[in-house]
Amino acid sequence: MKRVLAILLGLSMLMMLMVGFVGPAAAADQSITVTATGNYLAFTFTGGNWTLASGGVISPNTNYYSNPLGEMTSPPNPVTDAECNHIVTNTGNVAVDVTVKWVDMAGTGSPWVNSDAGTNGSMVFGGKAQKSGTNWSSAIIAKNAATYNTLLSDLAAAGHTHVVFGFLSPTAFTDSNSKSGSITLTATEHV
Amino acid sequence: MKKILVLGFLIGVLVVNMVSLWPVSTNAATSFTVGPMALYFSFDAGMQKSAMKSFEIIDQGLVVGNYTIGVEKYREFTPEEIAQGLKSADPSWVAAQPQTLMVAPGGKATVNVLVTIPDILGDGQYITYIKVSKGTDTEYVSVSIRTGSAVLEHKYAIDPGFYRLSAKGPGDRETSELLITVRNVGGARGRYLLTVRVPDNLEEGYIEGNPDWVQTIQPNVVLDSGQTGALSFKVVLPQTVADGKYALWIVVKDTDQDSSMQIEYATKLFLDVQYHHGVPWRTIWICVGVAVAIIGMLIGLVIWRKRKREKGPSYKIEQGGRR
Repeated sequence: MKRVLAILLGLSMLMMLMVGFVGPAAAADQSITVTATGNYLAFTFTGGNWTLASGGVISPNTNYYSNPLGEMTSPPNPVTDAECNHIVTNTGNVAVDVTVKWVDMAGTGSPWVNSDAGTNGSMVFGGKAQKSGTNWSSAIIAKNAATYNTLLSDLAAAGHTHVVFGFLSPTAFTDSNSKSGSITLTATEHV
Repeated sequence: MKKILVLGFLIGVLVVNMVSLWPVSTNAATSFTVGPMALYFSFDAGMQKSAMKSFEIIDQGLVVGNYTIGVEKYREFTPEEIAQGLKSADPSWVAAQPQTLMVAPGGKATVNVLVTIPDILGDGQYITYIKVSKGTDTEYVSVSIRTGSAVLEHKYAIDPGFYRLSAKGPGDRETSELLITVRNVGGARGRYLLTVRVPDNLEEGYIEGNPDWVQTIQPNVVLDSGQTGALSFKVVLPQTVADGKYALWIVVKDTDQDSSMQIEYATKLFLDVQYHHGVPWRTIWICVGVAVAIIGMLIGLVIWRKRKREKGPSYKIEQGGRR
């Protein structure tokens, strides 16, 4: 009986030793599992550049809109397609989310700095954006600093949406030079 | 005699003119350069009608250079070029400022080029050029103006939309090279740059990862229209990273976009890290196997003992020749 127990104990210890050796080896052999989804992200952003006041002088502390019906005409609540100069079209094969960034406006002399709050100040402007079908009063802030706000969520493949931008000019200008800055839309797959 | 005098006078005038027109400096053909030598403007069907870009004059002369800048009409296009949509731009659309300037030897100067197109202008690609002169030296900067549907250049696409990675143990620190495919489907050459940033928005259950965990391997690629290329990166996690579900954005942007309205893409990177609390499935299965083996052996032992009892004691009989 003792001999049998001894054999069983030995076998158990052997098994435990095997586990002891195999366990760490399994962890060392593992590699990061990679799963790639080959979806195709593509979109267009049409409507062209926006040159305020057709390149003329703009007024301080004034709202301007990329509104084809009038650059100083506030889009209504809700915003209509006809009052949006730009169109975002999803030309990929998956739904996308789109965020918006509006950098500081630079030129000769000091830049106009984006307040990142939709407000203005001396040499500080506010940027906003909204999509058609939603209220301009709840327009999102187009910021210069990350992270950026979502302008479009779950835009279906082959779908499109009209968008409009708003610019609140600085309360004061310290030089007479023209400034320019880009608005960038970033598309990601809607997961 | 009179004829000789007139001829001598004319020769004298010619000599004086030649001398006066002779360049003061030793202006060779390489006395200055301009760059870029081509400026591209795009106007689509929107409200934008004007845009400004610039080029540089880099002086390579020995004395101060006096430059004049003017806009001139491009040559007439051939019927084949016209069929391709090429048209001659009206020089009045293009204004270069300043029109004259002086540049010190070896110095640089910037010339701004403002293009303003008429309210009604058909689709197409309009060409003109800016002539930069210094004495007898001349360089040209071409101005290409795309209008209407022709302007959807810088169209591009990427895939995949996301990567999901899982690190289940301290050994899972580094991935192999991960690719993002870029397709230039626009009409212009694009320079594509890969950068990493924290997400603008997070999926439920995820927190921001650290952009330092991503190492770019191929951070940029230049593609002509119709070409496909790849950018690449790998993930290297620090030993100290806490368990969790992290997200990062791998951003791809065509840096040649010159419009004030630009686009970019981001491939989402999801990282599921379970260094400390997760148990690998293989270890779990081995433990289960060992437990089953031990239980089996114990059951076998019980059965063996039971049978042994049923059989009764066995004795070893020894027999001897003498008592």
